[in-house]
Amino acid sequence: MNKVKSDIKICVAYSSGGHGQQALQLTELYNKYDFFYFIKKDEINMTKKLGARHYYNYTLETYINRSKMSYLVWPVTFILFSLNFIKSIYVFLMEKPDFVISTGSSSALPICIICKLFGKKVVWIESFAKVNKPGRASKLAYYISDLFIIQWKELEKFYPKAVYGGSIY
Amino acid sequence: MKAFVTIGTGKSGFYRLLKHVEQAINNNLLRTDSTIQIGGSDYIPKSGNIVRYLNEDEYFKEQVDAEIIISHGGTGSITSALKLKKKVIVVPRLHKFNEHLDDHQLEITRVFEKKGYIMAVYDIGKLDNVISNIHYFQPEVFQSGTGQISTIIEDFISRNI
Repeated sequence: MNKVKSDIKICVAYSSGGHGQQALQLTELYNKYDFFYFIKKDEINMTKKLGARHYYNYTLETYINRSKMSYLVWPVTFILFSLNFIKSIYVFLMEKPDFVISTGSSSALPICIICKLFGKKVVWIESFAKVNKPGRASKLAYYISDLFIIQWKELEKFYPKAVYGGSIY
Repeated sequence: MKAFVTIGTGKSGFYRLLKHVEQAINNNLLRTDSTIQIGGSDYIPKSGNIVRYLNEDEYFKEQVDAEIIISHGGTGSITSALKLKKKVIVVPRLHKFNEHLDDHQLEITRVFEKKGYIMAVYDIGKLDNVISNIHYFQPEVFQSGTGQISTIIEDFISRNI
């Protein structure tokens, strides 16, 4: 059966802040398909306005203030990453997306990994803020993504397979 | 001069910037009705129109109404102001002051400064000077993305269903 656009299911995954602002530049694109958000908890209030289904992932900033509690960063990161994995499996089984589109950062990695393991396609957009050096989460994302988009040409030397897309803004 | 000051929606404050903006208002460099969006900051300036968070429409209106925008180095804050052809002073959050987890704001600020889109303040002591001279600054026009990324993804999806 030929699929029409509304049969295709997309997971839009991102953490927070700039990653969210960049991801939301593409809402016109998402609305062509059946889609849902997998995002940081506080972001949900913003995306509720957009009327889409959403689930929340576990982002460090929701739980600790990095500068005040720096000693907690690594243990909490490890716990949250594990929780994200479990939540990602749950979200995947509930929704069975065909594609995942992510603007990063690391809290969006587990859902990308899960989708990849189940043979789905991963689209990763490197942040507009990464001009001369790759992001930390992106190095892993590059290996598992089927489409890796960069916004600055300066990154081509780090990501030979990447597609240059210009500014998302 | 009426300013809109934004430090982003994250949990960490930005005392270094907020304190100096407060002083700039007290010294009549900026108007007292300048809006300062303070996010999760513990410090609350005693001058200016203080808000923690703004919804999309409110944020847009604040940008439109302001003569200049003073922003942390968040890409969304900067580019939305540039798209409105506003004069923007960027004060990047710095890792060494525990203002951010790394110096990626510094990186993007330097790039934008070099391209002539914004004025940047790294040493906060220079903020007053930059505000005083912003009148002479003619920013380069920021070219918005042409939807190329959208097209790339849409084509990719079509080829993979």
